[in-house]
Amino acid sequence: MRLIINKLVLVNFILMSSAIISVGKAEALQLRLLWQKALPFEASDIIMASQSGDIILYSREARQIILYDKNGNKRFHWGPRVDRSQWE
Amino acid sequence: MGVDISHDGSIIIYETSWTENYVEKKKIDLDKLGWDRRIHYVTRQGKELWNKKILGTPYLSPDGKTIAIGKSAGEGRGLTILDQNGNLLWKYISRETRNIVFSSDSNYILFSGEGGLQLLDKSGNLLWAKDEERGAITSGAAYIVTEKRVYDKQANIVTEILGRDIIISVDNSRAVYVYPNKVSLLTWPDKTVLKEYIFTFPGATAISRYGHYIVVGGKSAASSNNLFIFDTVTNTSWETKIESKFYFLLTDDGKYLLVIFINLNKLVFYQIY
Repeated sequence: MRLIINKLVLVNFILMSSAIISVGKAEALQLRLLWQKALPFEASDIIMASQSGDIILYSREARQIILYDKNGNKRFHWGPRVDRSQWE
Repeated sequence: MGVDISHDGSIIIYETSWTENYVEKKKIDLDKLGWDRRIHYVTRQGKELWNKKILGTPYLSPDGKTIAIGKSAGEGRGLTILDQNGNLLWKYISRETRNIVFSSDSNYILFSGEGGLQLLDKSGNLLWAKDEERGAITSGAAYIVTEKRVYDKQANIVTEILGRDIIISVDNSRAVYVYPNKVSLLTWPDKTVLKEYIFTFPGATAISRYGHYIVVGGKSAASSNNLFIFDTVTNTSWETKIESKFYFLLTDDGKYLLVIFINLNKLVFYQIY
């Protein structure tokens, strides 16, 4: 993963043990879980469009790109298994 | 970076460097041959508007209208700037090009190379250079935050970093100082402290466009949780525990939060309200 600094969001790894998310303590501020999903491949880059919330997953090695919109819908998917001509 | 997306999500660029030979034989290093590397400029509907054979790593301006390509070795090294139709706008020769970033208004480019950290305007004019390696740049290049200090557009030093992280909001009106034991919200650039949040180990931190929301991944003596979201207007908060390596991304408006679980290869997407 890379340090994303250009959108003024400093992202660092936070080292913790492994398991899964637990239930949050809610006060007046609320968070709604919109969606969760497993990564379909090991992404070298994960980028979120800072205004729209669209999310790009990219892997050079796997030659795959997926765009999810903020509702979790897959908007498109490029890769050799999908449309090889896009990559040649 | 092999991929980038405009702020509104309408334009994506990505890089390819493969051919049938590479796919089938898996041994041919076509990157070194250098004739089959392309960047693709596409819409979010998947329509490819153009692609171009070019060597280097592409970056997209936030408005999606400019592409910067950085190349550090060989012929054509330096910065190459293309317009949204793939036409060459200008080149800036540099032995190395690293850490390329656009300002959020797309009008300035910051990169590091043989001359240090350099600020260019969108016409390719060098505004200043400093002996620094990387930086973040705010809208209008009003402020440049490096690992050592904060500069203004005229290269004046606004403040030293001094062992803390400084993050400036997109609208240049607020800043977050991340200390080893607390996170502070300040007005910017006059630096009046508005809020302070105590931590034993604050890590990744993000601030929304106007400083309304602050997200902190870290440890607090008062809680076993490690992901905290603060509404600085209503003085309320939300927190949870994520027992995995993770990092997060926050939209500019502070309305959406993506949490990436590294070990679990999982994405979780929240709406903040």
